[in-house]
Amino acid sequence: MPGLTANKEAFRILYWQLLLIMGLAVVLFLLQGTRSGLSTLLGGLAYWLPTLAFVWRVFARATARAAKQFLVLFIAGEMFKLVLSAILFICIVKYLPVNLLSVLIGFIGAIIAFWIASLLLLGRHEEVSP
Amino acid sequence: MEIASIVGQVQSFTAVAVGLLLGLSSLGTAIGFGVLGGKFLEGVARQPELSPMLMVRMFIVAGLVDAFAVISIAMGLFLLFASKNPLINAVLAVAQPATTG
Repeated sequence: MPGLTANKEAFRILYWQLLLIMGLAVVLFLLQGTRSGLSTLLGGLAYWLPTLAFVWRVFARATARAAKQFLVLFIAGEMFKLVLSAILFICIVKYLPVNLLSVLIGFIGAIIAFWIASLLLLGRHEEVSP
Repeated sequence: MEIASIVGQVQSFTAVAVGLLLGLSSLGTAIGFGVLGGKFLEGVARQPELSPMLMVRMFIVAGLVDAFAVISIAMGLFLLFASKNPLINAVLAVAQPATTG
């Protein structure tokens, strides 16, 4: 099933992204304390959780034949992800006792972690396939 | 009275900034996804057997396209809905010694 490979690859990127977010949170925890570390983790999760929901919803139904259907699902899922991550970010900042700068570091760090994870995966693919 | 006027100005400029943040990020994302989706369909129509690979590549590029949009939307909504607007807090912090002193 061709969709299964895409699904697996997307979840692998998310797995690496989560590891990088947790690494960043541990670094801030060691440098600035518990509150900062937790804030960074929450900021990272505000981007990671909507991405997980997006991948789970879009790639679970991905098949080779239904490219147009995949595209529609993809764009709708992406809009949902954008709105959900913004709402989560605001809820965290507004209702939880967090450090704003650390939440921002976590949030932006999660996005950069996605880039790093993607580039690592792409780099490995280039090495494997001639 | 003067402080109230300055706070009002900050609030109005904040509203303009939020509009720009949301509007420009939406515009950029819309253009990006339009191009991305078009190229994806083109690629799948040309070589359907590459569809799974193209899906993953599209997911990766979409992450790059929406990164700045997510940041600006989050910042815009934060400025709009946060109980403590940092810009107004800065004005009030400067005004505090003047009113008490």
